[in-house]
Amino acid sequence: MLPSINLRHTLHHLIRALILGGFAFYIIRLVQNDNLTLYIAPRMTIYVKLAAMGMYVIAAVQLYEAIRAWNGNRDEVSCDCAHPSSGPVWRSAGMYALFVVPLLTAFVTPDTIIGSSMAGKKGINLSASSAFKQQVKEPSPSPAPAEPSTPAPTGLDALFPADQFSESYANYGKKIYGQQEIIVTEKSYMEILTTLDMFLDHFVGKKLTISGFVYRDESTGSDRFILGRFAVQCCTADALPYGVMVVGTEDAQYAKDTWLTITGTLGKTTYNGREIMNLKLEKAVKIKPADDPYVYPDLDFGLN
Amino acid sequence: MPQSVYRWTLNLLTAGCLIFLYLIFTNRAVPSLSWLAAFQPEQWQSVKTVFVSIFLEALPFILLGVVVSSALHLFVSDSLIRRIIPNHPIPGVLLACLLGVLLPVCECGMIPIVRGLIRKGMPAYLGIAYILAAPILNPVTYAATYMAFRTQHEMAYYRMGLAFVVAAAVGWVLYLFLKRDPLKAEPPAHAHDGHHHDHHHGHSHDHEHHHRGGNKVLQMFTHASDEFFEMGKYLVIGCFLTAVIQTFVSRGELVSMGGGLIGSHLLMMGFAYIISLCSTSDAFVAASFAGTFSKGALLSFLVLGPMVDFKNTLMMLAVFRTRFVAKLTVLIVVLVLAASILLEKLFLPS
Repeated sequence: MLPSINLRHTLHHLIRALILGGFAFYIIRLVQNDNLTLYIAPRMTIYVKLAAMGMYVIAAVQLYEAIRAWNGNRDEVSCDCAHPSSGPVWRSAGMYALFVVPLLTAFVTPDTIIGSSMAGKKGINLSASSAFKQQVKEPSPSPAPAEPSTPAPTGLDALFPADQFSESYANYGKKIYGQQEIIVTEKSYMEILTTLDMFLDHFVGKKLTISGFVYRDESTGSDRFILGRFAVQCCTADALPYGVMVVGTEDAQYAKDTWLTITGTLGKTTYNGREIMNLKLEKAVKIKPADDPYVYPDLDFGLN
Repeated sequence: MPQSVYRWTLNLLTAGCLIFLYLIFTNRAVPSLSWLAAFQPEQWQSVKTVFVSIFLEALPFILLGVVVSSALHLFVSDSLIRRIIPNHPIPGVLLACLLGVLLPVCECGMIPIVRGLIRKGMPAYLGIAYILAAPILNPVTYAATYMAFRTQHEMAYYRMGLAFVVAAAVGWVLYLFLKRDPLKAEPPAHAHDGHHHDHHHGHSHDHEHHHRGGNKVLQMFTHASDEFFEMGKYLVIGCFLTAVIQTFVSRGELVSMGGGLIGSHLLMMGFAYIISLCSTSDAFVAASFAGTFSKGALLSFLVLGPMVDFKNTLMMLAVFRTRFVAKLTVLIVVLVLAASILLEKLFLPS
């Protein structure tokens, strides 16, 4: 009786040590391959790394317990609050399989990015400033709150009215208003799209360069597609797709999920009853998916 | 009976889980399951991506939860807990609701801690009020909601207020009506009922005496590992099913199902339940529905989601009795629905 109890305890501790160590190792491998940000936003990765360290420590203790149990240390076994060896073996096996199977699957399958099929399920957002627009439609009669100290021409202030919420976008709008060509950067992807969408009338006719993946569905047809990116807050599960409608693509049939850098002219169109911006395609270059396929909120936006 | 039904469900879920994972692994659909063939391989890869991302995001918090709860178990005496917890239910519940301001732990990490506290003699109604309020009533969630609804700051205030009201109400209702211990029975050493697998972790409260002091830190980690495996299996199932739902259920179709005032509230609550997002990121998802649904419906999404959701329910079932979890869920749904509709009618005229 006694040896078999020791054996079972040893096995349980050993299996647990292996599973915990396996999770930690999986996380470390993701970090080494620079793939952790495919799952977790950069600002959250520190917690995941700490978790990996914590799991290594717990795994080490489990290994130590396994050795003690193997040596027949009854004292330690009786102190073990858990009774992992109770219940039929198949049940324990099932429980451990619940951890091992996903872990192994995650290990051996490639790390991929989510693309247009997920965007279709989530519904792609073509009007980045839609959350602001309700507010902008009912402007308060009082003038915009104090402008930053840099004196801007009154003409521009009138073109880019702002309240405290849209101020950073209005300021950015003033900055890029004079430019003939606007580039949507990785860092401020959402913020630039929001600015353009918020003050779309002032930007119609300008050139825009933007990168992303191709999205198509029944509503886009063959003469247009949507170029978009997923914006991630904490983890890929909360990713929301944002995009720009690209028109005039009859000669350029790109398959969905192709990554492109597109230059085109900004315009307006109506889509599903809403006025959105569109891009008249002029130049499209196939690119590799970005190193970090997702975009994140730019916390520095409006600070410089 | 409910317990055996539940155990069967768990086994079925496990089996389903394994089958799905087999399909992902081999990247093909079994011919007899032709409906599965309709889903492309990239969707299965999306399942994996979403699964890993939810799991990794929850991992630090659940680990923190089991370590803190183990430390509580081994280093904090029952009498200390009893001494510092208020006896009177009114200040007690209010305090429990506001504790999240000081101790913001994600909901996954909170369940093992609260179980530890309840075992140490904290009244269950206080623990539940804390579990419900803390994911919402904390600075991190407030800031995230404020950011997501930049032009409608009142959403952040209403979210906090509504969560406070609902959590406090649940706390008091439980104080009045909860007579049984809502925790699953701890199997004593001589248990012969065969329910062990749900709680390997039947420790007796006096066994601290057997421990030699120097080993306490090691024991804490072993204890944490036990709790991790106990909670972790529910986390794995919850993450997996959430990933499947996120990948295969279209938001557009979901939205088209909701009509009318109650319909839209119920729909957003159901949506919050099945997508099981963390309370720090769900505000951005809610904001993406700003044009589609009323503010009241968005609030019901923002308040219900962190209190009960799919992943959370499974983890609650690891600790609390099935019946208790079911009744608690119904109570929360009814309260959130009533409170958000009331709020909409009174303060959010459209």
